[in-house]
Order: sequence, then structure tokens, then C-alpha cells
Amino acid sequence: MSTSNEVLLEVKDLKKYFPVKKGFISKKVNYVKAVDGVSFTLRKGETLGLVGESGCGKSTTGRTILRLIEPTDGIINFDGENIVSLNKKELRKKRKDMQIIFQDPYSSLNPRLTAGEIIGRAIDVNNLAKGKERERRINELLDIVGLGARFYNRYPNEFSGGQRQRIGIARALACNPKLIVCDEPISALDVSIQAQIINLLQDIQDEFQLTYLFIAHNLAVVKHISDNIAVMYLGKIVEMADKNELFENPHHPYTKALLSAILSPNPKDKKERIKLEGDVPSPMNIPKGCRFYNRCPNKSKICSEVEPELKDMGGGHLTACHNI
Amino acid sequence: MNREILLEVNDLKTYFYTVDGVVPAVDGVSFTISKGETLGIVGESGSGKSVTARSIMRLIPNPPGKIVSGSIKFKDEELLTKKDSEMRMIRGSKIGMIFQDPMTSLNPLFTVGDQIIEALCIHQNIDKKEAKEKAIEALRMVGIPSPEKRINNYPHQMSGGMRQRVMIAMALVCSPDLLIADEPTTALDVTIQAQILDLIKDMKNMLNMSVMIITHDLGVVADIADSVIVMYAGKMMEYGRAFDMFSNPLHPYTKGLLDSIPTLSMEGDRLKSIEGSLPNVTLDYKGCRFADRCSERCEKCFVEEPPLIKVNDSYVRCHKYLNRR
Repeated sequence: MSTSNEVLLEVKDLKKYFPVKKGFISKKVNYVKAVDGVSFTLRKGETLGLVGESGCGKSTTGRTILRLIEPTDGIINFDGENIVSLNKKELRKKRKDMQIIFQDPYSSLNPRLTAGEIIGRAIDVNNLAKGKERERRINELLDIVGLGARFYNRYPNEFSGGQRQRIGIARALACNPKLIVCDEPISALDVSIQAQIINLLQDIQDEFQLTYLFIAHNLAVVKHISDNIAVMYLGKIVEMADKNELFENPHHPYTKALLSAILSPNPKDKKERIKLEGDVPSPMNIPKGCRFYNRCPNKSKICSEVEPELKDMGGGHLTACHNI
Repeated sequence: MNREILLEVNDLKTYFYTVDGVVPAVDGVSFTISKGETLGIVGESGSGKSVTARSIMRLIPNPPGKIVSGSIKFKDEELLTKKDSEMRMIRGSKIGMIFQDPMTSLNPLFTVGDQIIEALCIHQNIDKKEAKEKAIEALRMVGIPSPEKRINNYPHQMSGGMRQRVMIAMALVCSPDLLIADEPTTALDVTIQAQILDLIKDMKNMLNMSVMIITHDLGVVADIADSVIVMYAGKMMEYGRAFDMFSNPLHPYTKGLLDSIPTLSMEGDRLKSIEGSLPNVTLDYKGCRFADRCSERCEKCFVEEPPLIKVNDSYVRCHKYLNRR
């Protein structure tokens, strides 16, 4: 994968708080701090893997970057423009360059439209082509994702999960985007189909110089497809590094536990697992100090009082932990 | 393994009668589980692994489903000829089952304590007070902190991992001889998945029971199972010891599956994928069910279904091994 030095996306201190309302007048009683100060940069042609357990805010981060969810605070510089400050019309123009592939290929396609029309809608919305040219483009897209023009008139219910995900990919490609947010694109698919979709995503990345934000919880898949990996825990990035560096030399105790929990498909590779006690705290009631404090195996006194900052430990390996 | 056989399934066939024709969801599956053994069944969705488990529990909805033929012997007793009332006494007390989704398999209207106590009162002749103590003990056993308080919680007050622990406590409270776990970790996060697998292993050793675990994740099987069945489109494709299967997979499908998973030690930028997708199987299906996607197929594969062939200590359903016998 070729990565240039040109920065495509820069996220600074992104926050998304969802209000919790209660009572007759919908008084705001609390906030769910889903994303609480996330910063990273993404260079052209690069893939950043975003991993974490459910509820850690990885999907919200992905969606907030596209402003499918309005951010509470923060800066999102995409292709030289802060998209947080764009109005609706400007945003719509910009959206052409950033697309998303969803997790569930069953609910993310309109069951009343044919495969061709689903892709066609993306072309119409952005006024990219009309008439014969539009049809040619749809057929071309169906070819790119390995389905072929003969599937143009079929409805989503006639496709398998893997094929539907291909339609979702074709739709995302329709307006020649620069950035694609892949929100768990393979976790709803069968094992033998997952590899097909991963290969397809890599092929189109090379062909169209795409930049990916790849959100997933399967670490082996993330390692396979990403250049850099960011580990999220309870709304914050706790560690971010080059993928080989992260897997060979993890710093944060949470990353270590996450890596040790990967099950290898080989009984010979059995290794000692780091057992994490307890559960993730509620994002409505984030504890003072380090967010990982209650589950951390090597905590110290300072951890319960001061929240650690994400610091560079050398060579671009960022970690948020007091005890390193 | 030369141990006492607990469960023996012979040529089990479960068909579903739908408007679009008959679907042979499980088509001639045979295996045994010895005492203390862990059997893993792997396969993709629609391969018939869950239907196999539910057939053993006699939980196939009829209609549309029906166990057409075969035998299921549990402790030398035939389960398929048992009356519903007899079956009810076996479920939950001799055979425990945990399901994939801990969110929907607990009743939201009752506290977790009530649900465990109910299972105890049905199967064991004890009063409520004693049952409550046993329920607290069961919750403690599966690693739920302060079980005296947690017993009064409703399912929504617990996290996914906690709920799965409650499910396990409920399945184990009558100390069953066999635990059937249908995708017990699929809905859970990775770190929680590791906890639950360790818990199942610990419980198995403590209660000296057998486990049948159904999953689509080869990593789970490698971690926990002694022997493995690989299912594809209702058929057993490979059956053998887990160690043998991972070090020397016989069936092209098993090989393909193992090759298509990205592993941490792997380098290089392309995965070997299995092309195509699962076939729509009908009763008059001819030939090997994997033939369309197989990289080692020959003409014979499309005409004749291969039998289950014994190779070393394992069984495999592939023509490739026929003349090697």
C-alpha cells in the first residue's frame, strides 16, 4: 500500500455527548460520553484500524467524522477544510468525497430497489451522470466489486450476505470518494466470505488510492488490513501505533489484554491469557482518573486521581498510561 | 479415547418442510461424545450445526421441522422415542443448554434469581429457601461478584458477559452430564469471550461433564475442543481430533477455511479465499455439496456424493481419499 505524506483527515479533540432526557419536559439529566476527546491524523492512501469493545465509541467516531452524527465539540479537517463548520449545502458537496460501508448488509440496502438502482441513487444524489452514461457507470461498478452487470435488476433479497456487502461497497465507490469509513464491514459475514470481502477492499484501495478508517473488533483482521492501529476504551484512544509495533510491543495494559484474548486457530499456539476483571464502566458515569483503573492489573495510586494523557513514547507510538 | 460413551448420534436426519420444498438441514450426521470430552461443531450459517444441537434436545419446531430418521442415544437411552414429559425431565437436568444470545434468552420480567430457582424447583425436590441458597452458590461458582445482591437483579441490569454467566449458572445448576453450548461467545466482546471460554473449561473439569460447543469460529474450537466436526450444507465433511485437524486438515473445505482466516503471525497481503457461497440444497441434490467451490474437484464430484472415509484416526467426506485406502 502506498502512503504519501499528504494528510487527508485530521481529527482534533473530537467529542460526542448524547444527552439523557427524563420527564415530561425532557430535562437533560446526564450525558452519555460516547466519544470523549479523540485525535488522530490519516494520510492519503493509509488505513487506520480502530479497535475496541462494543460501546467504546468506535462506530460513533466513524459516523461523527462524516457528520452523520453531529459532533459536540472538536475539529475535523478533511482535505483542507474543517467540515464541522460547513453548512448543509456545502456538507452535501463534501460528502461525495467521504463514504461509509455499514456492518449489516441486510438492513443497509433498500429492499424495494434493485441492485442497480441502489448504486444509481448515489450517482443521482451527486449529479455525476445521466442516461446511458449512468447505466454504463453502474455496470462498471458492479464489475469492479465482482458481481457483474447481470445482477443489475435483482433485488437485495436475492443476494447472499457477501454479495449484499459487495453492493454496499459499489454504492460507496459510486462517487469516487477519497475516504471510506468501513464500519465493521465483515463481522456479519460467514468465515469463508470474510476473506473475499477483505481481498476486495484491498484491491479497490490499490486501484482507486482510497483511504480507509477501518472499524472492527477482530484484531487479526485489523492487523491484516491496516497500516496503523488505534485502540479505544470508553470513548478515548488509549494506544496508537504502527501495526507491527503495536502487536510486537504493546504498552497499555488494556492493549495487552486485548491481544492475549485473541484465539489462534491452532491448538499449538495456546498461550497464557491476561484475565481482565469486571466490566467496562458506564459511559454515563465515567470514573475520575484513568478510565481503565477498575480493571487494570498494574495500577498505581496516581491512576485513580489523574487521567493519563496520550503521549509519544518514541517513534510515533502513542500511549495513555502513567506506568510506562 | 477409550472412555465411556455418553451420547451417540447415528445417521441423524432433520428436514424442514417449507413452501419452497424440503430442506435437508441435517443430513446423516453421526458422532459420539465420551464422558469428559469436549466436541466442537464448526460450520457457516446454514450448515446445520444449530439444528443438530436442537435435534438432540428435541427442540425442533414441528411443523416445519421434523427429525426424519436416525437415533440419538443418551446414556444408552433412545431420546427420539421419549414422550414430551420424559424429555422435559432430561432437558435442564441431564442435558443443559446455553444459547447464543444472552439478551433474548432470559425472561426480562423475572429476576435472574427467580429463573434459576424455577429450574431447581422443577428438577429437584427441594423447597424455595434451599433453592435460593443453591442459586446463590451457582452464581458465585460462575464468578458473579456479590451474588446475594445480584440474585435480585433483572436481566437488563446486567452486562452481556454477566448475562451469559447467568445462563451458564442456570444450565449447570442441576449438574448435567452434558452441556450443549450454541455459539456461547458469538455475541460477546473478545476479552469477555476469553473469560466465558475459561469458565466453561473450569466448570467442565469441576463437574466432570461433557461439552458440545457449536461455533463458527475456528479459534474457539482450537482453544476448547478435544474433537471437531466440520459441517457444510447439512453434511459432516470432517470428523476427528482437534489437534489432528488443525495440524493436518484433510478436507479441501477445512483447508480453505483455515487458510482464509488472517492470523497474527501471517505476513503477505492477500488472503486465500474460498470463492462462491453455500449452495441451496434440496433432497435430490447430486454430488458433493462443496464441489462448486472446491479447488481440488474432479468430474466425479458433481455426480456422486463421496462417502465418509476413514483416514488415520479421522473421517473425511471427499473422493480424493477413496483410492488411497
